[in-house]
Amino acid sequence: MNKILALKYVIAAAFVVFYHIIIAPRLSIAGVQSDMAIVFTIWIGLNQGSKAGVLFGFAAGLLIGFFTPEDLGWAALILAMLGYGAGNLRNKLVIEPIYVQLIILSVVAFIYNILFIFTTKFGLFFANFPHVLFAAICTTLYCAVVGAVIFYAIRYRYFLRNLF
Amino acid sequence: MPVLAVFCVCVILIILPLSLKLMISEFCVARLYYPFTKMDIFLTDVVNAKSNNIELNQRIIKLSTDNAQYIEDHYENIRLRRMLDFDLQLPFRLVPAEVIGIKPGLMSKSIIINTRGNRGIINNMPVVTADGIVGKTIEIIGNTAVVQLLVDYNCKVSAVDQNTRSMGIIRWQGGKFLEMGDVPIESQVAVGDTIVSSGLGGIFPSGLMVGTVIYSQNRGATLFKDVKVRPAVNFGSLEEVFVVIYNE
Repeated sequence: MNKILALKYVIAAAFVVFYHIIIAPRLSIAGVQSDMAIVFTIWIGLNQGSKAGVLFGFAAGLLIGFFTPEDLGWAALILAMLGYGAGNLRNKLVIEPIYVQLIILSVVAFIYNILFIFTTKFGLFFANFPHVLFAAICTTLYCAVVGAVIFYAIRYRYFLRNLF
Repeated sequence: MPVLAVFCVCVILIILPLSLKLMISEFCVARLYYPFTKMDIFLTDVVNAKSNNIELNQRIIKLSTDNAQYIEDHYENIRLRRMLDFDLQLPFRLVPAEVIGIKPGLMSKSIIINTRGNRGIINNMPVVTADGIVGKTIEIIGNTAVVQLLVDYNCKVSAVDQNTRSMGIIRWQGGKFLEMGDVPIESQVAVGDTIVSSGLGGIFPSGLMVGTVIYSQNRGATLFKDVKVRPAVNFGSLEEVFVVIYNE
């Protein structure tokens, strides 16, 4: 991993924290917030491979995990696993079209939400499963929308740069 | 290898005691995220500033309105106090009345006052304020009375210079000032002298303030001086007046 790429990951991690603290609460719709950590983990996993996906997923999960100390480590573990999974899919699927990446992102976001609630709020998961499912679907859809914006922005960043 | 290391670190973090997790989280949130939380607070303040601004503007408008009302009440209080003091000094009864209308005209100028149940008010009664003579009643209609102002062509008051005791007739001939006519040319009426009612006309009691002399010159070939008097009363801002009723 060269230094420029490492710097990009650090900037991406800082952006994840910035988004989590400042942007997400202000863009929440009926209490549903999008999660930039998943979006970036999947993007990096799909485009840079499983190793980068694991490391970034771990870092992003750890950074946002500090806000919920009682669940510290769970977000990092799940995101690292999903980053690893996304990196492995890179070799098994044709991931070039953005819609494929968005489908993967949606599936992964849904799994992440279900797994996170299952591991951290085990009692709530079974006691109020329909609600948990509904919340996971809403968050997944919101993540997919935000992911589409981010993925297209990254894909066409040179075009955007020339535009301005 | 990194995957295994990450997995191990995550497991260690998960199994850490809650107190240690809290300590780590507190440290990171307080130090590492300080710029972000600071920015978050700043943005929250900026967002709230607009609504706060609207609320403060509404409060300013309300307080300004209240303040204007208090100032109005304050001046009314001052006026009424002055009138009360004035009332105590005079040998006749004063009936307070509120100005409820103005009847402007080219030649005639009058106001309408609320007599609140007549209270013995009839025609040709002097109307005054603490400053001086306002005019006289010329018409009583129910609970109101029409007051002919001193600045009316038909209103005349017999007056005297307090200083020289020179007598004359106060009347309005147009313009901003009153004219004191029939003042003999040999009289010593001077600018700054105070003019009061003489009591000779039969309507206005003696000693009521009319105004101050602002111009006094001998006219070319006449027997009388040309004397102009600034009225003591501001006829443009009458709100409360008194009708003078002679004690029986």
